[in-house]
Amino acid sequence: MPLEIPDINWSLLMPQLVIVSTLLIVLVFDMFDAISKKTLGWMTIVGAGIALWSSIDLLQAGTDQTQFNEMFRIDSYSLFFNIIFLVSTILVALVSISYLGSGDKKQGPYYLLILLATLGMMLMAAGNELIIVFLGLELMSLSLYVLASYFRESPASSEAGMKYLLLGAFASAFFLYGIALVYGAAGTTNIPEIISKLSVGDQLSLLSESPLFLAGIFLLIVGFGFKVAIVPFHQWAPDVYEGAPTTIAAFISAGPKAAGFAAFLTIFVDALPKLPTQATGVIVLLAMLTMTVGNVIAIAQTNIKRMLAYSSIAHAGYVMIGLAAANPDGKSSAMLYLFIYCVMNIGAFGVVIMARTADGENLMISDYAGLGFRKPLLAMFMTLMLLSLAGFPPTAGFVGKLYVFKSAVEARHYWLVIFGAINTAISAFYYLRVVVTMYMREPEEELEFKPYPPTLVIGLVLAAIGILLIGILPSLLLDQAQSAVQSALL
Amino acid sequence: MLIDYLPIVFLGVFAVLFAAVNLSLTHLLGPKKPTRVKLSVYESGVQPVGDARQRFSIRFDLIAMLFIIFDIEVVFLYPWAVVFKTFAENEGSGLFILIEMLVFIGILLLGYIYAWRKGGLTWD
Amino acid sequence: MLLSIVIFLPLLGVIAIALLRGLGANAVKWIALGIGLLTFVISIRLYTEFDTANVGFQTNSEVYQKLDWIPGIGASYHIGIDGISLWLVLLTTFLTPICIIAAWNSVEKGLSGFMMSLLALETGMLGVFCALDLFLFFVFWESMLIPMYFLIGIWGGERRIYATIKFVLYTMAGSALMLVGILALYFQNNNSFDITTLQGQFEPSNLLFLAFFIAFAIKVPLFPFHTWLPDAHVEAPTVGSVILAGVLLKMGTYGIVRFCLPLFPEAAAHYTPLIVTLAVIGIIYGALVAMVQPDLKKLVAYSSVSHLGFVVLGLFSQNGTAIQGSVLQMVNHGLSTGALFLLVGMIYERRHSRMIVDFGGLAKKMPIFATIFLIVTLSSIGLPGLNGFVGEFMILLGSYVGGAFSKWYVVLATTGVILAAVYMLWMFQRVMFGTPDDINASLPDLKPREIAVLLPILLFIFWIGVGPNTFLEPMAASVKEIEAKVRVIPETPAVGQVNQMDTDDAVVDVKTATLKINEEEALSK
Repeated sequence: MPLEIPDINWSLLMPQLVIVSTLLIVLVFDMFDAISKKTLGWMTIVGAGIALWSSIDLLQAGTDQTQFNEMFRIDSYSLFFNIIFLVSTILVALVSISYLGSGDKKQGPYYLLILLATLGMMLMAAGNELIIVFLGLELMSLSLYVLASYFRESPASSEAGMKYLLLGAFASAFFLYGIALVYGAAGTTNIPEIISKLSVGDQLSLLSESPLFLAGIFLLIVGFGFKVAIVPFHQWAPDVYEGAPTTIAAFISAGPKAAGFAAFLTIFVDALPKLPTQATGVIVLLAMLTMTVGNVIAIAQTNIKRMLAYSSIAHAGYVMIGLAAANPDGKSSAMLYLFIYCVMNIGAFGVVIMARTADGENLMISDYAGLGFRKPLLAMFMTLMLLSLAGFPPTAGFVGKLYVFKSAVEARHYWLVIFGAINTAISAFYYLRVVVTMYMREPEEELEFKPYPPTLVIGLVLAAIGILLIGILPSLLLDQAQSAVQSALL
Repeated sequence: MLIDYLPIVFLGVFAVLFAAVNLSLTHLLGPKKPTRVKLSVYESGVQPVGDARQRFSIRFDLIAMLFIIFDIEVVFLYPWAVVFKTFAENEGSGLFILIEMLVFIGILLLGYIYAWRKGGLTWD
Repeated sequence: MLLSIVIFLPLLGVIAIALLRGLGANAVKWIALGIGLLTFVISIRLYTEFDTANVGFQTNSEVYQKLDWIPGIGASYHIGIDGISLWLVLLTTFLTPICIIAAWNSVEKGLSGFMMSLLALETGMLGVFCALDLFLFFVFWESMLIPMYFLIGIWGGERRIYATIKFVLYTMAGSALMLVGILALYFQNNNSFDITTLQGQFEPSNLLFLAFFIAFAIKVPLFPFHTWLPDAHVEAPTVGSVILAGVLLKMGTYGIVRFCLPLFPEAAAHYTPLIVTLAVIGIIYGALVAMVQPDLKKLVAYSSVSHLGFVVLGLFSQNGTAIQGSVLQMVNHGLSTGALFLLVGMIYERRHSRMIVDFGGLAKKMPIFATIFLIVTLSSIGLPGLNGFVGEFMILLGSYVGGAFSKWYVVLATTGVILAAVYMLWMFQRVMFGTPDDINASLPDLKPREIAVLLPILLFIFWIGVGPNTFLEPMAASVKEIEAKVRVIPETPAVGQVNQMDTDDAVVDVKTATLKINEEEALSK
């Protein structure tokens, strides 16, 4: 039997190849103690920057191809997600450089693992095949487990890593089992093929009602639910965010969530209309639960990292609205929302890092009292990020929410939108409470703050500009997201 | 099509039954004459020393993991070696997959050196 | 461009202050004042260039602007004014410099932040009044919340945090519903946010009407959504109260007259009995609660609830005269209640108390203060010759003669006018007359700066009272347009001719009107 080597167009794989090469270079340079660990951070940024540039380049060229026997999809959809991941990686790396300092000799693996996780995310977004998605998921998750427990001396960090590992492994198992069942029912793991098998002509096929297939789909929802932390699969998130190094909490809450949704959207937006209506019902219900539980519990938090963790759960709920809409607009609005969410959430965590004192981080919301007048720059960044998270115009968060709601209104999920809109009001309460603390309360004790690290300020300025720019001129990003979905449809 | 899996179910049921029946039969029928030597822990014929429940160095885990990682990777070489000849007959593709495998081994080697440099192989 | 300049000039001021705050407190004040005055002066041109013959929005390219903003969803930067928004724009640009002068010496910490919030607020409010694109409208509507939130929360009284969060959450809950309504309209209107082309039947019309109305009713605030208002007013700094009462509450009534009425006339007619009942309850309830308030600021706050009940009553009457009166009353209320809050603020700075029992006999020691206070009080009561009278009279007359609801509503509402006289005059008596104690006797009279703050307002109080036509004329055409859209009952005497109206005819008209309503009620049952 003659074996064919598939034609490989290396230029299409540039983003991934650049990340792999950066990874190897960082690995080599990490072996030499003489090289400052900060250099590794800068290498990561440069590598991710080049990958970002090549992703944008490919996106603008309107690439729409598959590679490796249709297992790997390089189209505007995956490229747009690449941009989300790489922007998150760059921001996190910028923030990390000053967070870790240069004293720690063991921080080489840190950047390695971040790059590895990024590669996993890119695989997930580009996967045209459930197996590739799973491969990416594992690559990403395993790196994140280690990163979460990166501060080995801190019990909280170890606990975070352990919890994340156990629940993550559990989720992976669900996911894999789901893949197995879907494969058993559909006879293929190729996602477009599975979706095309769901209907014959205009009619739904038998497959769409086969119990085996639906069980598989259900398990996939559970698996994804764990990964993107939607209620009721969210319990790990607050503990992990609280215990993990703050930079890693920012990272976990941004890129991996987007990656989880990338694969989630690929499979479900096209499949939902072809599944029994109960499936849409499940998604709608999960979205409502996620938003409400996330927001309501966030109100009760006193620790800022936990608050942000619950807020990120709630934001997953907003993305789910776009998913439930299950129309092209829903898909593009979810993509847009994820992008905006990543930038503002990393920004918010960045400010938490910025508010460091000599004793460590200021994690209690009450510690932020009085910062509005004593640390105007810090308070301004925090206010901007929180207002954006709360969805006030003219910030990017508002634009994101508006598009998500719009797509759901189009799909006639009025109740879901009303739910989302009321949740936005609820969320304003706890976001504004931090602003209240900063500007309207007097500090209980004088805290000595460390000077602002320059790379952190650069990262935050970039995030802030991004938030305002997208907020005032949303077309810049929206057009990209819409064309990404359009091209995927053709 | 689920019916195709029926033999597997039979096999599973039979395996469980066989084990259970045999165990319970020997337990019920077999003669029991316990002595001190018979009750002692089986240590390949060597006299047991101390308690089995003791902590051992975490480094064993590290070594074991490294072993598994680099050992398992070798498994990938076998299928490659099997099909290499087929590819070698084609024009050019032989070189291509040779280079691919070299890249693979190169990356592994890099990882190995990394583990070595970082002290993964030293005992203390 | 003119209108855009008016809207965004204050924002420019925010940036200027942010950059030049290093120059010190005085520089910041002068920049803010300069920008505020400049905005007002430029905005006067909106009046001089105003074309009263134009029924819809002004077509003058200086005023009307439409630019692509987010073509992907059909949102545009689309602004313009008509006779209704003209006055609210002018009210806003007029009150802002007054507020800046009023806050001249009273801000202790974060002066630059205060001025920046004030100017940013002005941009937000102007944007709300001028936006002709629902998306743009919503952006301004929401973004205006943030500076107000800071104004109350940072520079407010003791319970400021509670008050400011309550204020934001109430408004956000309303606007969340409105957002859903806007999106639903957007899809029914061929994916467009353009207010000028919104038309046709909207389904489900009643729900959409409510989505908008609740948001606006919270802002007005209509009973029973009013509970945030007293808290916000009492805790806000003086200037915050002035802006809140003067302009922010008008955004609710403006929203009703701009969206709820013309877009959903049937739904509006359907809910009119309920809404008017709430408005009348608000009028009487507000007045009664105001009567027993020991706190001056709370008294004025509850009087706002009462006064705005009149405005809502007039708006839902489907009668041109009453609607016109309501629009005028929005401006009146902004002036007189704004002035009242300023006066209360001035006396608070001297006495550090707002409790009525702490005062007494001020008239002897502070004659200028007492005189101005009396004029403003009488204007708030609605004394003929002052501004409040014109508005209230038009509302009551219009809705009595041609209102789309039972006359009893109007009769009940009229008791609100009497109650207003009671609580305002009683308050005035307790504060101003009697023998002053030692502290009150030592209070100094108004300083020139404070008089300068109040005089312009007094000027307009008299102007509107004596020559209301200056103000009624430009809005007549626009009001007529609204009236034509909302009218579900037969024609009644024309706008602006209230004085020559033949009462006999009016009675007949009312009869037919009530008949018609009865018919409709029967039909709907």
